[in-house]
Amino acid sequence: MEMKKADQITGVLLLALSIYIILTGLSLELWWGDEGPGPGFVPFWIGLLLSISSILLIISTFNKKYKVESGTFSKEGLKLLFTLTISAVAAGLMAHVVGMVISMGLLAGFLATFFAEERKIFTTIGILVILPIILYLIFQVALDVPFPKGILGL
Amino acid sequence: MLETFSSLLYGFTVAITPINILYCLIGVVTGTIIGALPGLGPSAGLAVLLPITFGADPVSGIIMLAGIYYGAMYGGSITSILINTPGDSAAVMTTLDGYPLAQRGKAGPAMGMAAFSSFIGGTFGVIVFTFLAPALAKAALSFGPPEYFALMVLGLTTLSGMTGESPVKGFISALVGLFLGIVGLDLVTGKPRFTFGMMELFSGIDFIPVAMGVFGIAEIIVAAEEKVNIEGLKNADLRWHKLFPSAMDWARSKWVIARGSVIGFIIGMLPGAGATIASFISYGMAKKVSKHPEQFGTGAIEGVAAPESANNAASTGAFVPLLTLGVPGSASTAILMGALMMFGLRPGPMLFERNPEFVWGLIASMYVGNIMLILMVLLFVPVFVRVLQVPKPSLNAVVIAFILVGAYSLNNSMFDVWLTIGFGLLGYFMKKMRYPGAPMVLALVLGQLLETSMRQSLILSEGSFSIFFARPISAVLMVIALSAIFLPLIKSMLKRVKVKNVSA
Repeated sequence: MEMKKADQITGVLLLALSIYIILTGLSLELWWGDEGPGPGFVPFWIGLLLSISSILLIISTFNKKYKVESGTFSKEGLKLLFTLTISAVAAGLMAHVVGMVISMGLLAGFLATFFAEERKIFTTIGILVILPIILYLIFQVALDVPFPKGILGL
Repeated sequence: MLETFSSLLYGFTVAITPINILYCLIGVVTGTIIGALPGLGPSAGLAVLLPITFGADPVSGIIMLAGIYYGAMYGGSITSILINTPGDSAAVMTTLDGYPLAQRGKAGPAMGMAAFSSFIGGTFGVIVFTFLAPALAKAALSFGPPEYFALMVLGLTTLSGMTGESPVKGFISALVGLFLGIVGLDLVTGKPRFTFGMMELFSGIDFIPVAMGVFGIAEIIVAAEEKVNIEGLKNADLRWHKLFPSAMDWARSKWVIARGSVIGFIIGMLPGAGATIASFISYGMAKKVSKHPEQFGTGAIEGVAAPESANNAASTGAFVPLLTLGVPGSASTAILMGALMMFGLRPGPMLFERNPEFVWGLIASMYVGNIMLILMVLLFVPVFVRVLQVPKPSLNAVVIAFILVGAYSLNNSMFDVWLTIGFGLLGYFMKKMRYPGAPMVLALVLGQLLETSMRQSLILSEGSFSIFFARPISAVLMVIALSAIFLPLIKSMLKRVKVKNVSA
């Protein structure tokens, strides 16, 4: 996607967000008598300033000369983003089944394999085994963080 | 003066305990490694490693975080010199001469000069800080809510206007950060704002998942897209005796380091400017006054000394507004401020009165940390370089797992893990679309304080905004803050008019 188009789309989305913030600010109290601003006052102003900034951003896309660039978002980058997000969410959900330290070890092992150009089984196994131990020692033993424990009790 | 010395001595009794030395050592080592990873700078280092300090005593915790901060500031130079890939933006200028020096087989002296100039810049900064901070804190005791409000606005506007390519995008980033900062229960009336009925949002959005997502996850994905050639890491001769610059190198660099340290400290104190700008100005100044400006960019040793002395002095200078006024001027110091508040401490002038053991322990630890950093570098640079040879995908994967576990341990809640992932996504899009992340994080950290000081000011003035311009200090700060908003706009309008005139 071209940067110009991307700026226009985000400008419109930010404008919509700012209108929502202004309306919510107005629905809360803006002032309460002589005692100063109410809970809606700051949201209202943030929304107003954000709407001005987004309009300026949209206007600037018509005047500004954009450098010719090959797409802002590369296919490879979006693939990385998608894989990382899905696997991180899956690891988070799995934490209640296999335990936090093991699910994070699995996540790191998977990502190390996925990110790598040359896949090495020993690296993956090393991460799968060593990382949960390190996380366990730092967070559970040293910092006493009560992680969700899975079926293995870890 | 004597009082400062005795306070400093007291600080050393706090800092030089085995546990605090250990925390400082962990901070410096991990900070150097994180800082050296391409893409991850001091802000990412602080955000990723912050959870390790959760169980620690506040003094130990902040000593470690300060160690991470200046360790990461130095770490950025390792990959700048060896593989022409700056670890963070403050090390960009170091690549210009550091890498050509490495290509000529002088990686050792370049790394050594980077370490010594960082040490000198950092130590100079701490010495000035030691004497300046108490005086400034005393002066700041007279500040009321309008002055604090004006200071925070100034910090936000300058940072937004100066970071990134477009001031408008910087301001948008800050406004989104302010919006995130008001999510939760209103402090005065207790009314929920933008919580969508979710209990987890009632206490607001913590800055840590935001910082971890924007500076950690997003930066890792962007860095993973770029191919980095690490051959330079394998070939460099970094035996410790090779790290010492020659007498000629010192002769060429001594005044450059002195100037860089002063410039760095002053710029570091200014809100919004920070280490990156300090390194640019110091490099430019060194080139301007040099007898051999043509050698800059081809492997001049002063070209390494100038940015490195400046960026480390700037990182110490940045502590001045943070600790004396309670107003951070950069993303890294915003994270440090958030950490202090997490420890139950409120940065600002009262900190010197109420928590002297904390303030002076931290200041003393900076002296210790700088010495530790130079020793670590001289003795263990080959080890740091070996760590960087671990395949980047494995390092990235481990850091991501660490971030998510850290996010969970913040409130022992999966909600923070989801927030971190969400802000990682947002951070990626921001990075790609050139929205700076620093104003957003700073605004989020300052959000509630900003709102509180504004409300207090308006209550004092019975609703009149003139209070911000009626008091001399707040008036001056507000004028500077407003000019930080309008100057970039006026400048770009003038530029457009000029272009039109030329083309006509």
